[in-house]
Amino acid sequence: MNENTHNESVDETEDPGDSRLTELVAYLDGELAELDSDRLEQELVSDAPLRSYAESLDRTWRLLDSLGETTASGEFTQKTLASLEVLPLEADGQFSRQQLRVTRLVSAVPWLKIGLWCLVGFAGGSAGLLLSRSANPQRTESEDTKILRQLDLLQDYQKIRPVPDVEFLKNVAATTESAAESKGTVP
Amino acid sequence: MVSQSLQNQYLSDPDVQLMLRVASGDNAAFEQLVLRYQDRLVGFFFHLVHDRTAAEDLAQEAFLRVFRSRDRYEPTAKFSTWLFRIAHNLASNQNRGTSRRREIPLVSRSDGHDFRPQEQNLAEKSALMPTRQLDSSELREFVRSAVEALSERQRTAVLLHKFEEMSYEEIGEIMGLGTVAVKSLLSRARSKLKESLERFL
Repeated sequence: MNENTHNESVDETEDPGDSRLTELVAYLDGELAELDSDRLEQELVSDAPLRSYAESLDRTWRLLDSLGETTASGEFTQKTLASLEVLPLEADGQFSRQQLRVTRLVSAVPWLKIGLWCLVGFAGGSAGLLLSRSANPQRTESEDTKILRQLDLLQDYQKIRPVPDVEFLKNVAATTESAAESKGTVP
Repeated sequence: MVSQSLQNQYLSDPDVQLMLRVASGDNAAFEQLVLRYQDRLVGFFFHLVHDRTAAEDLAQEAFLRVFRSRDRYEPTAKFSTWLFRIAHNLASNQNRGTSRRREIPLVSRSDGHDFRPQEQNLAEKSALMPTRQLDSSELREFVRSAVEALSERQRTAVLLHKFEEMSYEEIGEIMGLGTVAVKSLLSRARSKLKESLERFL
């Protein structure tokens, strides 16, 4: 709160002729000291022109009632409360001061900013790797096992030729049987 | 610096207590303050700017300033005094902005009163038909014109005293004036109003 500046020398400088008026208005407003008020009341009783003047001042004052009362619209309260939610951060001093301190600290130390970004990148990469491994563990194991089972075949891959047709297989079988008969073994 | 005893004096003000709750983060207390003062603020501004939308905008801005100040609020006056001080400053800023944009200069009459042309027309119209009974809307317009013809400080003092029923001391706190200056303002204002509206008395 600001201190009151009791500025007595305003543009409304009072001349002696106004002092009577000022006293009368203060009396009508109930702002005159008790002793002065009693004195003025005595004067009003005996001074008809003064009394008439006071009454016209009072009636004028009551004419202001014709201006009527103005009330806030029905949605004023909600509008006002809603406007609080869009106040800029600077309006919430406490929160913004903390934010400002953090922002200034990061801006003042560049390597801190770089380090933070590296940390963010590492964290992101690690998370991606973990996610990919946890996605389908069963598939990975079966592929490795399959390769191990077929290792001999894969090693002799160069020697393997495609089978042309069924007749070829029958001829191979016949050749194998005759070779076994000549040796005395079961084919 | 305000002494401890003065601060304790204002703590008895229930609206000061509400504002202290606002300062500690109680937004419901702020809503209560809005409800208590919205009609008074809107009415005060309406008498100054004569436009409901503008009056509500100004009243809303006053409440927002109260809310923004909550962190550094100290009860060094009645809450109403503080609120209307904010309102008075807003109104003064509004008038400064309006006066810069004014295109029609004030027209001085020979008796020293300042009238805007439209008010002069109203007065002339009334002079042509002095015996005609005015209806309430016409009377209201004449009264409004008479108030408008006062200086900004006189007008503010009149509105605060008449419609807010504030004491000279409170008005002085709001307007940054001493009690003697407020007394002088109001006496001259009432004299001018009497001269403007005498024919309707």
